[in-house]
Amino acid sequence: MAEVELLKAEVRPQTGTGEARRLRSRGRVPAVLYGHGVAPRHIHLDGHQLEVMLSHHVGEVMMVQMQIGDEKPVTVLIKEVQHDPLTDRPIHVDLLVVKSGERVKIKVPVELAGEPVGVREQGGVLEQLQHEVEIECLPEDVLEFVRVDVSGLGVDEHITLGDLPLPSDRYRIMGDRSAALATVVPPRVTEEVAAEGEAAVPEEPEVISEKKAEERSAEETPGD
Amino acid sequence: MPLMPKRVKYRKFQRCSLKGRAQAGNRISFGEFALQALERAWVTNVQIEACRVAITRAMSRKGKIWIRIFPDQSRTKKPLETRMGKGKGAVDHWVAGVRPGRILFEVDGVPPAVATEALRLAAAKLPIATRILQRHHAVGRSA
Repeated sequence: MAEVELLKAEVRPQTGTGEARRLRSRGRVPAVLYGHGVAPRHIHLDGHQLEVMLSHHVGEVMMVQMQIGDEKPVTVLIKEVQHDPLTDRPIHVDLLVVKSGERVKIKVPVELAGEPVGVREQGGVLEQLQHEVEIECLPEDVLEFVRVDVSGLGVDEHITLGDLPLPSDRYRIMGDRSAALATVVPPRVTEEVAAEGEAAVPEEPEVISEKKAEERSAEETPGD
Repeated sequence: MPLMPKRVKYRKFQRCSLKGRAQAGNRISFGEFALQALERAWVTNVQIEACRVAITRAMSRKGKIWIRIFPDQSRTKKPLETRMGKGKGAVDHWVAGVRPGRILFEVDGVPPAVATEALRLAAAKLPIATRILQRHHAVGRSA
């Protein structure tokens, strides 16, 4: 389980895009706090504190202590962090109120460890088909990431979700356990499409409207 | 064969606006490393092909490449020394509209040093500033 840190938050009286943008311009990050049997609360967090905290962890799903205003700190789970695609700054956070003994569903990243035999000896390419997996577990068992060893994987072999090294009594893998997680594909045998210096002959794409007009005229002609 | 659509409804296009940021295709979806656009531009099919060749060669034909943009708009050109008028020119090339944030290429299956070098070489073929991304981390910028 990830170490518990204290995150300070304030209540967000107004919601909506405009208010969220105003908050972000002041260095705050809009967030929502919800949970089973708890009314959702709109809050905002300190952007710098959040970024520093996230930078100290591999994954983003973690347990934190959160204090809203002067209220008593509560244990929450960072369920999802949305990032700006250009600046990578967090733009919104989903926080889940957790109760001891109540299982939570989280998405954790999958990290592949080791170099597969198929890559090392046969020149294959390791392809990761799923980069995160949804699991259900108790709040105290929350993982930052799942590491799976792929060193024994040969060409055309794959590992599935069921092969994840997670104890079944503590973790339940959501989704199809037979779905492939990573595979080693045979080496590519392709040739360069166009040789250097060879002028590619531009071809015209088929125009749908012209084709229809031709068909129409062809249909009309025999009847005339 | 150059990158272009197989079928189109109309042969010639009117140039549309490229304002705003990329709302789709702005996250790494397939590979471990990616090249992301930081500026907006019409990227031609020739530039995309040059990038693909650069990446393929830098990766010694190993690994896997995903091209995340497709030139689906035609651009026309009138012949040289032609008077204005007499209709729109003939189709000259095809372009893909790229907005800031758009993921252009993704690679996987090669060591990080090879992947970043391949993407750096590809970035040199493009008319815009880009940056190289690794899943969850920014690796570096190229202007």
